[in-house]
Formats: sequence, structure tokens, C-alpha cells
Amino acid sequence: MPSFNLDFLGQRLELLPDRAIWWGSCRTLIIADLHLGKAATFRASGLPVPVGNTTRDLQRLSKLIQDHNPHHLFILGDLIHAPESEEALQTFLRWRQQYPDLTVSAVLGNHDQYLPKEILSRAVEVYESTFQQAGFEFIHQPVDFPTVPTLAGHLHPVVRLTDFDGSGIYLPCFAVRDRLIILPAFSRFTGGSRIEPQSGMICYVAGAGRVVPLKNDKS
Amino acid sequence: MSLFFAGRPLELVSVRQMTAKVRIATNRRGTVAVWGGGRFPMSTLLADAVRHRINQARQGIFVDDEMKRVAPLLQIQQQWSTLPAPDELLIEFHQTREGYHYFLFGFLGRLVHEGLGALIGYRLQQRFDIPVVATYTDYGLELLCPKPVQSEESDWRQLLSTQNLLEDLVACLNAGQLARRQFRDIARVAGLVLASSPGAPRSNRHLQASAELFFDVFMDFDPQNLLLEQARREVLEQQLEFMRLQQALQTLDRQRLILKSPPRLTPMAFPIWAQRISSQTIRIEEAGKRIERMIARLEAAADKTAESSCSVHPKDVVEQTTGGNLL
Repeated sequence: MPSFNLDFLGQRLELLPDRAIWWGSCRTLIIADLHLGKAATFRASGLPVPVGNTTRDLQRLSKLIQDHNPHHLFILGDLIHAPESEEALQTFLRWRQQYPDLTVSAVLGNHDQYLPKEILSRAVEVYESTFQQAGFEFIHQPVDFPTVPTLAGHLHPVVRLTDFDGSGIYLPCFAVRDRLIILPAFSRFTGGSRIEPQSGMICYVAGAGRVVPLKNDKS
Repeated sequence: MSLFFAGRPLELVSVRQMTAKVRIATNRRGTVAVWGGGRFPMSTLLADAVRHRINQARQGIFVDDEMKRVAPLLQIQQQWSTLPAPDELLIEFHQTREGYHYFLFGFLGRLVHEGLGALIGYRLQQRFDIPVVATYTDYGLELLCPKPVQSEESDWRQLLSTQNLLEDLVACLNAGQLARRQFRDIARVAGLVLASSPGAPRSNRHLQASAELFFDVFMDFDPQNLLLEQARREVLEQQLEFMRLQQALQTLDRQRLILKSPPRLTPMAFPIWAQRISSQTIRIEEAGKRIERMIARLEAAADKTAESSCSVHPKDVVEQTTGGNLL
């Protein structure tokens, strides 16, 4: 799988095309922004959106676990899309039972504020806003210039690639600057916020089964 | 604040009932007025009338004030290329940094040109395995390709043939992503996406997704969905309506082909090129293939380290040149 090996402050992180990071030395898989049950939330509000994303996203996650055999899974917030998604939480808990040897740690995101933590914490190590591992800090909402090496989510970073006719497509990316990495949203049923070139971020674009660095130019 | 209308800088004086009073502005910088009437389809009768006027101009006859005013533009058109007679189909070829442009002046109305753009674009894409972007107005259409294609008279005759028309139309409904585009309107009517005005507070943020995203979710998990069906049906009944396109192709078949490669975008070609600003375009390329192509380009650029790929978008040019003559 043509992923991208990033040397991040002394650690080798593998940026995976399916929107996750493999931290080999700690046997840890890292993802952000799962947004499970988003379609159910829409349906609860009367918008007839077909379900299926939650299952597919969990299948993608299972595939990553199969491929890498991690000891640890980190989820950087927004596990469940909204409180209406009680069923999504149940689906997640059932999914989680397949991996008894896997430790799952989750930081709560802004979408998780109404989540029944006591239920979740039976299956997952839950952290209110942050936790640390091997000198790295894991949070949901990124800060601009962290003092310690930090991995975050929340923004759903995307870049705009300009085509020959001047039109653009938006692709998810890993946005990296100094001591900060912002992961793309793991869920496919998400929009994104565009990373502007002037932000000083280096973007690693995930698309067509590859991760490719974007040189900081006009496009 | 001044605005530009029909190439002249104007200052709004007053609006009373349905009449806006303006005077020629002294300030040459201004905004370009845009209004929804831009999508109003020209009828075939009106198109015929325009052809008639252009034919008169060809013979040096400028009957009224409007025609006298555009005379200099039409003269440039004649110098650089030609003004087509009613029995002629003018096709202009022009190369820019964006790629290879083929302009076809059919004078058949917007809807027909939209359908023709999708059809010819699909046929080009099938034949040469390249992405094609089609843009259209009431009197012509543009096909933009990143590589040159064979474009002798016989090639155009094939591209414009009525053979396999029905099969090709069905195929280009999918290839041209026309249903995806139509779905934007449908998603709005169905209440899936909310049209909010700029600056208005956004509520229900957790219920926001783009029509584009909805389209993908429906295609993945409920391809028989009625809203998708509606999008497809509307496209087949409007842009890709069989009888109308067959008639159009038969009309073009009776015309003499005039192939030109003018030194610059001609006065007739420029508005079609600039139309791309409105995003009313048809892209004939599979979405997955497009991502593949662009990622491959990115990889090549990453290898070379410094890539100088700044393509010009009509928007940039229009913004720069609004101060005066658009040519």
C-alpha cells in the first residue's frame, strides 16, 4: 500500500491512504472523526438519507486492523455524530467486541458531548480532552502552535487541487506544521475545511489509494 | 459604486418600479453585474434571428444602433476568423495554457448546445481516452481537452453523426455526470440542502452536508432512490432529449464546415470561454479516474519538486480586465 512515511519529531509515522496513521513503534493505529450514525441523525430530522455509511466506515476500520494488527487504537474525537445516534453507539460497541485484545482510547470531541460516557467507558478508555503517549499529545480540537508534539482532528482538512480547466477537486489530507498533525476525517460522509497554502501547513493528500505530499505552491 | 453592463461602465441613479436609471460612470473600476436571467434559454426562433443579423454583418449591413455598436467586434471576428453564413458551421480551434479549445458555433439555443456538448464530449472521450470539459451558451459551445485531438473535417462529421445516437446519449448521461449536477436542484427542492443567504446564521450545523455528498451517499447505498431517478429523468427530458438532438445534428449535417485556427480567442469565442465562470459546465470523465489523474500529476510534480502549474481561470482574467475592453 503506497502510504507515506513521515518522520515526525523522531518518530516514524505512516500516513495511510485510508485516512489513518500507523505508528509502528507503538503498534498503534490512529484515526479521527468517525461520525458514526450521521445518516441516522439526518433521518431523525426527517431528511431521507440512506444508511450504510456507518457499516462501511466500520468495515474500513476492520480492514485496517486486519492489515496492521495493532495493540492500540486511538480515536481523536467525534466518534458518534449526534445524540440521536444511540443505535450508532450500540453498533460501535458490538463492533468493538470483535477485538478483545485491542485497547481503544478515545478523546471526546464536540460531537460527543451528549454521549453516555458510562456506557462508552465500559468498552473504551475515555479521555475528556487529552491524553499522552510516548511524549505525544492526542486531542480533538487542534491548537495553532502546540508546545509538545500533538495529533488532532476536528477540522476535516481537505486541499483543493486545480485541474487543467481551472476547476478544483477537494481531497482529504493530513495537515502538518511544526509540532502539529491534523488528521483527515475517517468517515467518508463528511465535508471538510480547506487548508489554505498561506497557513504554512504541509499537506499530504490522500486519494486514489495513495498519500502524496503537496508542495506548498499556488495550487 | 459603478457596474458594467454590455461593456459600458454605469452608475446606478435610481430604481423605480421595474426601471433602473443609470448614467455613464466616470469611475472606470467597478463590479460586474450578474443576474439570474443569464440562464434564460434562447428559443430557436431567436437564434435564427441572431444568425440572420450576423449574416447581414457579414455583408457589411448594420441595420440598427445595437448592430452598429457591435460592428467593431464583428469586424475583428471577421478578420481573425470569419462570420459564418446561415449554411455554414464555424469551428474554431485555439490553444492556451489550459489546453486545446474547440469552439463550435451552432446557434441552436442553450439546451441543445448543452446536450451537444455532453454528446460530442462523450464521443471525444471514448475515442481518445481523455477528459473533456464542455461549456455552452445560446449560440455555441466549447470543448476543452488537455491534449490535442484529430480534428479534420471527417473527424467532426463522425463526432456530429446521428449514428448510435440513442446508445451514446444513454451512455453520456452517466459519463457526463449530468445527473449529479441536476441533483443539486433536486436536493434543494427535496429539502436535503438549505440555500442560506450569505451572512445568515446557520442553524442545525450537524444537519449540513452538500448536495454532492448526498449524491454519493445515495449512489452508494440506495441507487434506485426516487430522487436520483428524478435527476436522471430530468436530464433525459431536457438536455439529452432524443428528438431535439437528432434534429440538431441533422441541421448541422446540412451545413458546410469552416475550420479556423485564429491567433487569439475571437469575439465570438470569448464569451463562451468566459461562461465557465458560472460553473455551467459538463465534465466528461469518471470521478475516480479524475482523482487518479490528478494524484498522478501531483506525484510527478513532487518528483520534480517545483512545478509551475498555474492555470488561468476565466474568473481571474475577467476580474483583471473589467476595467475596459474585454478583448
